[in-house]
Amino acid sequence: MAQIRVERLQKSFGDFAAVKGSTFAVRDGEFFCLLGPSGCGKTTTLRMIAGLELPTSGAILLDGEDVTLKRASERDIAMVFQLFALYPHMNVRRNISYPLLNIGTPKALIKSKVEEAARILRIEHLLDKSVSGLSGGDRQRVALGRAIVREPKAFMMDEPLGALDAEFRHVMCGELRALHNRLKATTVYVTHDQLEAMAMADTIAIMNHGIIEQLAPPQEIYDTPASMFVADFIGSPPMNFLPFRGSVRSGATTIFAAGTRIAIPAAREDCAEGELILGVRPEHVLFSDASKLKGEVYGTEYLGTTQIVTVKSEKATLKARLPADIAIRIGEIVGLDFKPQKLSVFEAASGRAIRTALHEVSRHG
Amino acid sequence: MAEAHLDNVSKRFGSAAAVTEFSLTVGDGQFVVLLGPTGAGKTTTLRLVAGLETPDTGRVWIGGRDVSREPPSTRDVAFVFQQYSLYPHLSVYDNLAFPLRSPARRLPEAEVDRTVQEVARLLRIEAKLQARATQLSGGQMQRVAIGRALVRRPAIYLMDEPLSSLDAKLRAELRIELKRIQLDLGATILYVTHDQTEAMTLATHIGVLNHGLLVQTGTPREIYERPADTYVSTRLGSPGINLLPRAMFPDAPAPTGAETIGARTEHLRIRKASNGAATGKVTWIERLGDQNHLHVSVADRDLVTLTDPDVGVGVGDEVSIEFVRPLFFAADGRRLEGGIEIAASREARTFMDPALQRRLIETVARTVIAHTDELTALDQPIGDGDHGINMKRGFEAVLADLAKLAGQPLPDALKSIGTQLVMKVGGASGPLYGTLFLTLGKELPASPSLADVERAFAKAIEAVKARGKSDVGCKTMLDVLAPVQAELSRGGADLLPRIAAIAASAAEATIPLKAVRGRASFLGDRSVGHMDPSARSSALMITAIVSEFGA
Repeated sequence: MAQIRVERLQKSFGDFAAVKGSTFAVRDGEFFCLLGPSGCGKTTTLRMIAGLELPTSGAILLDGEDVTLKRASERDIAMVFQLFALYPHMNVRRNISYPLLNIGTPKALIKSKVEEAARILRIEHLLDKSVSGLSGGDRQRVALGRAIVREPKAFMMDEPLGALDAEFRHVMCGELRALHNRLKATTVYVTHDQLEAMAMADTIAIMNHGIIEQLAPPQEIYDTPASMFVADFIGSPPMNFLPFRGSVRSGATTIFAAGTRIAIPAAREDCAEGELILGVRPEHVLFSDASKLKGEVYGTEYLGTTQIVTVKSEKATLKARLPADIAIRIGEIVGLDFKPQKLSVFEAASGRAIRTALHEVSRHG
Repeated sequence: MAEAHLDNVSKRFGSAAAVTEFSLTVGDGQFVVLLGPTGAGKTTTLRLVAGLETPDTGRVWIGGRDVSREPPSTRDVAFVFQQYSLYPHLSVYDNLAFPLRSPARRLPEAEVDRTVQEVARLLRIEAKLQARATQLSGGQMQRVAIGRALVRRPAIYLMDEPLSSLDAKLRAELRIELKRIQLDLGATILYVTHDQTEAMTLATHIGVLNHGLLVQTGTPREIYERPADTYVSTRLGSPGINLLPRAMFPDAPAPTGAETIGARTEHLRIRKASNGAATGKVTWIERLGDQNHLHVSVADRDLVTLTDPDVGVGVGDEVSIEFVRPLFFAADGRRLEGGIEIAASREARTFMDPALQRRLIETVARTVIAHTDELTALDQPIGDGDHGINMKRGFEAVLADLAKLAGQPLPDALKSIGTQLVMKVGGASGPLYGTLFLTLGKELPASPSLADVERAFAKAIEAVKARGKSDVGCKTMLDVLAPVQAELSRGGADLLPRIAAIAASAAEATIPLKAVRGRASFLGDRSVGHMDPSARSSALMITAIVSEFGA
């Protein structure tokens, strides 16, 4: 297995810059997710690493070796597109063997490799079955088996679970991650689904308009989003934004927004008077009769363990995640409070997060 | 709007049964969501109501009329399909107006305009009214498709996964809008989905389908908290319910016949194990941001639960697992209700499930409230005449908290009730009843045995006595509670009827109780044969509890 380095990678299609200078490293054995909306450049990045697309500029290093101009077949990377693409007329064993047969591997070696792959994937009992009768999950395992037997340096996966319905997708996420824990294969995984990325990745690169907006482990991305785009893209329901006008001085521990003073993590930089945004995750919204910030309950959504309560205040519509056993009626007027140590502050114009003590907690904790 | 009703409907396609003996009522103004996996018969059911399919047997009623043999056009239904189907050459306005301009309706154009504007406002597409359908985003197109159904006021709206083609964010937004619109219009909706979040957040009632059978109907909370069987229990909840063999946890109290423990996040208490008390090991933490899924392996099983992001448990840690009133299922998959087995050994632990606890609290509260006038009448000749209204205030506060109380472990629920009564009942009775419930809460374990109840009851009586040394109401209360305590210590199979008899004798206002006689000296002749109101309220509570257990 291998380490992948991507340096100042750029790709333009005519006037359109799909990838605008990405630099990142994928550690050996890491599960690395490229996450973003459609058109953000994530698939283009993946295809360049795999050698299916030539970069306009920049370099790709595989285990220290510059492979930027090498052909896909020379890179020793397995591309897993749609996990369900199998040869319907072949049985499971033959489907998995196929890449090895193609390169003339001795029969005995093929047999042992296929059986090893089947053991890892826990599909030994299916080897002599026809693929047409398999369940979705088993088909996916077979497709993975076909990638595994080649023993590539890294796996590239492009929205492999995209075609599955939500329930099954989550099961498959668990399986893929468990498989990764056994194989420890360097994996670059492309998805637009934040839950998939959060559930599986060691590191997420979240992309927007060809730029990596943040590169960090899932929890750090969630807790300390580097920009409003990231804050909005990750989390369901997404982060609440409360616009206000003001300035922030380094060391400040409160802001004045929505007619009330709100405690925030201590600021670590100055920010001139301007339009700012207070960012609050739904689970950090508290109901408090004492609060001056009032709103009307617009809707409640029961989810079993928790409920999502939508509150309309003068300034913004906020969503709060609360325990399901708290009785809340539509139309009720509630006071809103926030968990101070968890809040983010953004510059409205750039969307950039202002540095606060929040960032230190995450780095050191 | 009107009610729709499927009466014992079956439909086969060739040899495949799509729906079997299906009966369902969609009440006026209800939002009923049919939930099930692909192939469960959801869409067929919807099409049977719409008239796009004809039942092999059974009947379909809409608005009190048998429409089983009627074509779709005369059934007065509006259908929203999964894929928006708009007229691409028409503007949004004309797409919305189309159903109103049909020759059969001949609405005046002013009326058409008013309705279109109204619906556009509800769906927030006013700004797009003049746009061509093809210029819209997917989300806007689906809004228009829903809007085209909403411009009419049919007996019932039928919706087949109308949000499934939208991205997650838009889906969440339209979900809450759709719910608002339904409430505003008082619309009757039958809605089909395989998405549990949609079902839970939209529905007034959910119908869970499996292989063409309607397995359970109920409010989202009922289905979530009291699933009929293991299948239903797996349909709601994220992460999904953990189904574990009862045999793996021999020490956990469970009702007779329990084969499977069903544990959701709220039923599990997972702690870092200390000195060899480990039952499992953390294998993986899925960090989903707000919700972290903790994977714990127990024997060869994987158990998934939510954990607070800040909780100090890491991969590889040994943990202890404690169940907090989980669900229990029998060998055939049916859920077992909690219950008390009087004849069983005095040490046998009662399994108190949230449903049973809810019923007990609710019955006690409603019984007391229902007797407000009587309690007032009893209090008037001897006291301030406010016992009834005071008790009513206290138990109304309890009812308001019912969902929370049902979900708490029994001791916590009893303490909460005690606190409510102290604060809300006031007077002399508030602290007395408060003391009673607070002491029971302090003394009872979460799954009490009969012996536990008896001990706790004895302590509670002591506490009430200590509290109310000089209070006459206290003595009369004890005249009901003390004999009950005596019966509890006797036990036996006919315990419930005996306790019921004590409560009933206290309920006979013409029978003078000992304490009432004691009070006679203080009250003079007026109170002879008169019952004390707090004796009556105690008796009412006992009667309510006994009747619940009897059932």
